[in-house]
Amino acid sequence: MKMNKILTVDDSETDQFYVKAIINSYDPDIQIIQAYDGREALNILLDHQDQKPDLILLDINMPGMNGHEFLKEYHQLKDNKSPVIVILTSSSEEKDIEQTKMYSNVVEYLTKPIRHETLNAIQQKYTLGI
Amino acid sequence: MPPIKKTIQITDDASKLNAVMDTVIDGLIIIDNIGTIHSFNKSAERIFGYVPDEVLGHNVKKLMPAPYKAEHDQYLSTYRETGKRHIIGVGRSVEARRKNGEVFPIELGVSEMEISGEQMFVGTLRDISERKKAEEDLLQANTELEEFAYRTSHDLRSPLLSSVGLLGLIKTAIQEDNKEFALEGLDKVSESLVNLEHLVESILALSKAKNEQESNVKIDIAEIIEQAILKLNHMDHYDRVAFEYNIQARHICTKESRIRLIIENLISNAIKYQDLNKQDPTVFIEAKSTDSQFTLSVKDNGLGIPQDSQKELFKMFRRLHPKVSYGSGLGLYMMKKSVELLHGEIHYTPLSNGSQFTITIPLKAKP
Repeated sequence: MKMNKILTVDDSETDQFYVKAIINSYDPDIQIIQAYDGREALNILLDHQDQKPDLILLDINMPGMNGHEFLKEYHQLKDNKSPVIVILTSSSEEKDIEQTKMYSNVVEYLTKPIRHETLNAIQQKYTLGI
Repeated sequence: MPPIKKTIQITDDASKLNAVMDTVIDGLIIIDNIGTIHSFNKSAERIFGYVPDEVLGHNVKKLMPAPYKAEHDQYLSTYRETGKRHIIGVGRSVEARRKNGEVFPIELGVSEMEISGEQMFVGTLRDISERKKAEEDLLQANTELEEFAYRTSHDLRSPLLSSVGLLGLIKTAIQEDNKEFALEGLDKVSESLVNLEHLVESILALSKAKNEQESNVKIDIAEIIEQAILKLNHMDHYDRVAFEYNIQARHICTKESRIRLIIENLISNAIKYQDLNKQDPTVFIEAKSTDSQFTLSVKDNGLGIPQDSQKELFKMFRRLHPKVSYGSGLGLYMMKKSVELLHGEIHYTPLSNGSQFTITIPLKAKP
């Protein structure tokens, strides 16, 4: 089964551009949906419940609703089964990682800048599981 | 003859002792073992605000706030019966209560003595209100510094990391002859680095602002507002904005650089967060002054501030709109600090179709 849709949540346009470029370089057919903060991401998920993304790439540090707040609210939704990957902005934010561990669908932690190979491997790993 | 000499000597010693007790800087209070005050030196009078007649013969718990007040009798009786000490010793920080009711921190040392077979306690104390305030200020400054360092390192690294990653992709794109992607990527890198430069500039301005001492001068508010608006003409979509004014204040006496910073910040935010879907973005500036107060309000019909962000409004490094993402996030923080420096207040009022920021600054009587 192939991965069709990925939701990326990050306030940095540059990072969004980058991640999209990497993913599409391996697989031009994957649809990438971009949200710039947690609130926007939640709205997208709620508005399209029948077309959920296969994967969510989530930045933690965002203005407005940040990654932590997003996870908290997402967790309270009835149908929150998409696996989520937490993207760290820097490896020194250990306390940020700790806080996300309580959510069972947070499965990986990546440090920026994400490398091609890492992202590709992640995609493959979680495609098989779906 | 010898007996008379001895009496005179004792009297001299007593006077000397009294003189010493009244000269020492620390408060000195002597109580018996049920808490009755027997002695209350000049410094204690100064610290507590009582004259000796008001405290001698009274229980020392008169000088204590809750909960010590209720517990002290118990401490004394426990010590009398069991020899178990609660406080005797040096250098304990507790709270005391002045005549006017004010509760304040003291450093207290208690020692025990015996006079004519009677058990007495001598307390020496020092008012440490100022020291405590200094400690709190230091703690707050440290916390702010830590937060600053954490956010700065993150906010500085982020555009750098993005750019590094992106340059790698651009290189590959060039090797694969994908000119379009390479050019788009370079634009993104350029954008990131420009934002980075703005951030560094803001940080420099912030540390400079914190360190500068400035005196009050007479300024023309209308002029400053005009200059601020002109200065911002490089901003995106500046030409779309209409400015309306109601300037009733003219000259006020205040710190010029702070007022400029505040005004520039308020107006630049109103321009930045305009609603591009509206045909008539407007910024309405109102300024009034009385003898004692200056009020400035900047109202716009722009995007407003999302409710999620309102609680964090003036904190450091808070950018409020994900899409309008440039800027260091230090602007509102610095503005709040400037307002505080002028002993004023700043309020945000959400409007149904925009935002309003209001600043009030107290003015001293003319110099």
